[in-house]
Amino acid sequence: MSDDTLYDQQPLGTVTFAENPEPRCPCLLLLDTSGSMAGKAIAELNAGLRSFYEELQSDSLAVKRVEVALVSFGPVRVISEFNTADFFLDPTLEAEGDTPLGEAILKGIDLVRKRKEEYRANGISFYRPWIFLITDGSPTDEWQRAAAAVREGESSKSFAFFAVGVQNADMSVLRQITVRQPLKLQGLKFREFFQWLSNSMKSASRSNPGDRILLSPPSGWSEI
Amino acid sequence: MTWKHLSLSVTGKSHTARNEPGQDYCRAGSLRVSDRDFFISIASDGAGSTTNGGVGAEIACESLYCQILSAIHEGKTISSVTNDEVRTWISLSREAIVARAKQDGQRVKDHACTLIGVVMTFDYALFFQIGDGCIVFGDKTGYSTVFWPEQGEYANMTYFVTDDDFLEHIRIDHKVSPPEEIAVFTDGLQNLVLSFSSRTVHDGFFRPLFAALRSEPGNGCGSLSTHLTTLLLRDDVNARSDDDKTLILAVNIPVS
Repeated sequence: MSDDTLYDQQPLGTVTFAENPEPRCPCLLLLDTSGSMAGKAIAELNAGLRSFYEELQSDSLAVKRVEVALVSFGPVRVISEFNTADFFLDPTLEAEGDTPLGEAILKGIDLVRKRKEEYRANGISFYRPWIFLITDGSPTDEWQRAAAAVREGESSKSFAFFAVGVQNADMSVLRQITVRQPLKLQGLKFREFFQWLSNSMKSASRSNPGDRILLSPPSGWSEI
Repeated sequence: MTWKHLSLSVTGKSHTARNEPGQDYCRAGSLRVSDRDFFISIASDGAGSTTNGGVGAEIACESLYCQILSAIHEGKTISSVTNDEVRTWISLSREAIVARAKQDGQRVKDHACTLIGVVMTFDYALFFQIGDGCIVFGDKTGYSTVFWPEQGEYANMTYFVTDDDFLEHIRIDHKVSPPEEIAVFTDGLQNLVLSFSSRTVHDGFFRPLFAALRSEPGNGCGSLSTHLTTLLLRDDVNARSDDDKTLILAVNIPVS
């Protein structure tokens, strides 16, 4: 075979592509683990969380792009910093203590801010972070400062903040915290909620949303 | 000195999967006017989130190309083009998009598109850009970017000719000696050919392409274009970037 023929067949055989980190889709879960969640509620939350990670792990693109952080409150604990789903440690949350919702929100917003700084420092592009607050009670600490921080973050498009009330959650407080309509979980349908959330994150991680929020309608788990 | 070039656009999987047309557009030409050789290259990426970004991209490219061509035919030298004149060219292209949107009863932002332009002659090069995508220049010893792609805070956000504050995002550069080799490409390719952590050009993509363009017989529109199109439509390339991809390559050659 002459060189010319080889060239005709493989003229671009030596072309290589740049390697760049995948863009990240950060998602923070603020999970109420106060005493009132004891029993079936915390068990369903744990099962739902496990299925959420399994869903993300089974999606080849989402497992590289979606980063989840977990903060539980009652008391406030960072269960997991932002990590891709393959780093899931299956924490098995336990219900205890009161509902320091304000402190949890401020801690969560700080985690998001720090993660964005790390992305920028490493040349990693990212989507607008999502924060999901899931609570079954009413705050036992000062929450107005947290509500102001949520409003500020929403208006500067620093993140999108969603609240989900469970059972006897104080929906009127949630309405004052979020600029978006809070949603009420049907019974203890945590698995359905997390199924919906993983589907939303999977589609967000493969789209070009700009700064738009692409959530599917919350059917199958929320009360109308 | 003149230029041998090729230009191509491939539609990304994100559009073909939904049976939509591509939203990139480009116009490139090597021309001789009154014994002077010029190379003009304009590329535009219609925003994927819009309904008529592709229409905006076509109008932007065609309008700018015609304006630059007219200026050259009127005897304008590239080295005498001021930044204000570049802003006027771009403003007039934008007005053409606004007029089309009005005529079609649509919003201007439905025609959102980026803009990347190069005008070269033997002793001068002019570059301008709004938004992402990139111009890469150099020779086989190494390549650099003219402007780093301007992106918004989040992935896939950028700036458009159709933005109200478009004048603030026009970037313009001049070089007194035009580069030997130049590439213009839209954002569908940038993640594959630029290294974002080090903000450098991935030479391993460009060096073999420029070499192939130089060694190809004829004007660059032959089998190399076919091979390059095949490469950019490969599954592993689409898996990393499912957006439209436009690439213009030009190498300088002595006048025969």
